[in-house]
Amino acid sequence: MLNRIILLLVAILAGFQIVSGIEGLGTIPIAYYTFSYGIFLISAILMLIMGVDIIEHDVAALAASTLPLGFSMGLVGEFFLEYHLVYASMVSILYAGLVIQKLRKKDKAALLFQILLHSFSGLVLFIMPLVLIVQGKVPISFIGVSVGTGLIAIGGMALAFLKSGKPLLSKEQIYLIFPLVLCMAVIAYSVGIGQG
Amino acid sequence: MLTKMKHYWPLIKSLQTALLILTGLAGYVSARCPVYNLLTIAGLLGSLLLTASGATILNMVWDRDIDAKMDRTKNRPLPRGLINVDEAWIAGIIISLLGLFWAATLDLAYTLVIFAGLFIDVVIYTIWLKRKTAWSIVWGGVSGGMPILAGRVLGTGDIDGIGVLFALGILFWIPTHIMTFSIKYAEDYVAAGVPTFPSRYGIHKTRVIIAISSLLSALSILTSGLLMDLTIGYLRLIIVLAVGLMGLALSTMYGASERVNFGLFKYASLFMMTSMFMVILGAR
Repeated sequence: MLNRIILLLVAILAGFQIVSGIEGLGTIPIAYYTFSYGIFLISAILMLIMGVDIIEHDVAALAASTLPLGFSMGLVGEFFLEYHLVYASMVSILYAGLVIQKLRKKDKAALLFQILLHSFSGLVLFIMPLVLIVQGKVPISFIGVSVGTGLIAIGGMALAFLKSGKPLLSKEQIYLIFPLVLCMAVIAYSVGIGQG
Repeated sequence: MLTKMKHYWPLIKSLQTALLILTGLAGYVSARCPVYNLLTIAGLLGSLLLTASGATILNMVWDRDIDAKMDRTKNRPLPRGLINVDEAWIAGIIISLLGLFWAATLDLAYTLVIFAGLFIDVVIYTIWLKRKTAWSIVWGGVSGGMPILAGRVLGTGDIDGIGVLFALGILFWIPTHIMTFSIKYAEDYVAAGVPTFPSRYGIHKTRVIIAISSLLSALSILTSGLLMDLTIGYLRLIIVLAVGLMGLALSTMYGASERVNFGLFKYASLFMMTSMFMVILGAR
């Protein structure tokens, strides 16, 4: 029951961010942030409707991979617009590679693309806010973006271990904490991007 | 009296009726925002509540023999004999008429649209076509689109393109809603002798139709939102939910489990409800 309430909170918060939390930004960051908050929103709704264990589904894993991509492309679009096209092209190629290898059922090649993609976008998303804070371009609360990324990474790793059959936590424990991780991540992103 | 009300309550399908009323309110607010006339709003809500409830009671009375044959519905009050059939007929007719009279105090065109919805639902869909053809669902969809069109007509005084698009949004949403349901309860419908798309055309073709109708429903609602100049943030949320609906509908085409199929049924309801709230909140 508590998990369902938490998931509902994730959906409401992500929905609120899409409606009004990102108003006032440029068109490009709004598009990307909408995309990533949309992944939060739809994931929460689907988990509410079908159960938390849908996160083990291959399509869910592919969709979840796009979460850091959207936020990182939004950040690049917001603060380094001149590099946006190069960055977007690069991560899109990596993502296309991941999807193609998944469809071809080439698990090792897919894993390589996944590692490259997540390392790259994860680092951008984790480090860029810190750099921007140090440079004084954004308030300290922007650290929420890095915190959110860290939380998503924890959730992603838990899932990866679960799918590999060597989970650090039991399946039940992962299902129990996953909604909470998602909730804390969406709160952290909302604080970071909302105040940035 | 309390026991009788308890038996009648399931007859009006409260969730379905509430969703129809919500669509009517969205149609009205889409044309008249900000809303100042609370009496008109009360009339709109009251007349829709009465006509939708009346129509549902009449459907339940007519379909009581089918309901008795289906596991899912055999415990409803009418098949169980908890309510007198003649009394239910009279209640359905009186409640529907009260709704129409209330509507007539508001606007003639509005009343005609509501009457069309009532007539199509009870006479054309339920009495005439439901037991004959799987395509009866189209008429179910048309009647489902009438409350939102009626609300819009009450707001604008006329039938306009946005109102028709909204009604199409509901019309195309109905197959997603009903066909996912008829896939889940396919055996029940076969036992009751009610033709459905899964029994007539097979599950795969039904899922293709669900995917196409979901796409058309989402596009109709989005286009209406654009044309009515819905506040951009609310439109963004509808776009996100519409993409989710289409994605889920497409995924059911490729060997989806029963769980995903019924997930689509629930998601489609949530999509429609949220879209209507977004129209109400984001109208200007």
